[in-house]
Amino acid sequence: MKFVVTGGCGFIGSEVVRQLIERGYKVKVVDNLSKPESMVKDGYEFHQFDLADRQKTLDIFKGIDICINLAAKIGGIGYFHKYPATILSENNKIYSSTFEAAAKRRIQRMVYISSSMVFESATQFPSKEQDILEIPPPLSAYGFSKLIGEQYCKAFNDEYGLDYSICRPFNAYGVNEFPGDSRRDNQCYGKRERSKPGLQR
Amino acid sequence: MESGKGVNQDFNVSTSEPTRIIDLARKLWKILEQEKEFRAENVKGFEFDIRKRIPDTSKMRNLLGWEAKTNLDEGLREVTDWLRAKLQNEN
Repeated sequence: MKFVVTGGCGFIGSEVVRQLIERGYKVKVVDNLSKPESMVKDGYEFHQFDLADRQKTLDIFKGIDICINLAAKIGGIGYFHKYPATILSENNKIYSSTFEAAAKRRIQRMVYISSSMVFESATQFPSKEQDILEIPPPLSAYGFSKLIGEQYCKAFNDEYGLDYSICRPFNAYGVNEFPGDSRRDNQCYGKRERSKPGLQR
Repeated sequence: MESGKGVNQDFNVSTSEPTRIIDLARKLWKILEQEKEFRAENVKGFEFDIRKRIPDTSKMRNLLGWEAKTNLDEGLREVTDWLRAKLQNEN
């Protein structure tokens, strides 16, 4: 079984890739390396480009069985508030490019990594998966953008029969992600080099 | 993913234990063995931001048999140990 992992050099992506390789799967990684601490490692086929490029994305999806789709404009909470247009516009380009490629190549499944931010307007706790059908959409651009990705899953399944799975991590943290002050810095990389808008994972 | 039971499904991926930010700060203060007394300062939040997130994780457990293996205390210890080592190497 062959995987493509978009944003596979990011914090969550690099761990996903490590575990796939450990299980003996063949993996392609696409990442634009916009995160300062992004690292390309051995054991997989690596491609550096912007997934908004539809032709390059279509080429990469050839022979793929499963896509784990993590690529997105992302940063700290401050980033979400400072660049709402970038987040919505650029993430939509990535969704269109990757979902269309997946449908055209007839891959087996799109695994979309969403976010707990889709539950921004939740009033019932603990929140169940089906609550998403009843609560109002998020007001933040990032939450709304992640919810759009979930709608892509359902729409491409309805129209093209593209199977999907949606994972919503709640406050992912761990080794290999550097802390910082997202309130003041707009980014979460502390004293390390700040990323410009367009950060991708 | 490998079982096929997750096809066309959505899953909350998390522990199910809620943690208040103030309690997280206190935990970190303790793990980092700070000598000064813990003191928190509140800063103004954003107009639109998530206030509270508590997931029900039973779907993931029941359908896929998966649940979080690392609790918050263990996870924080692992991260702070790694970060300490990393910062020591950089200095």
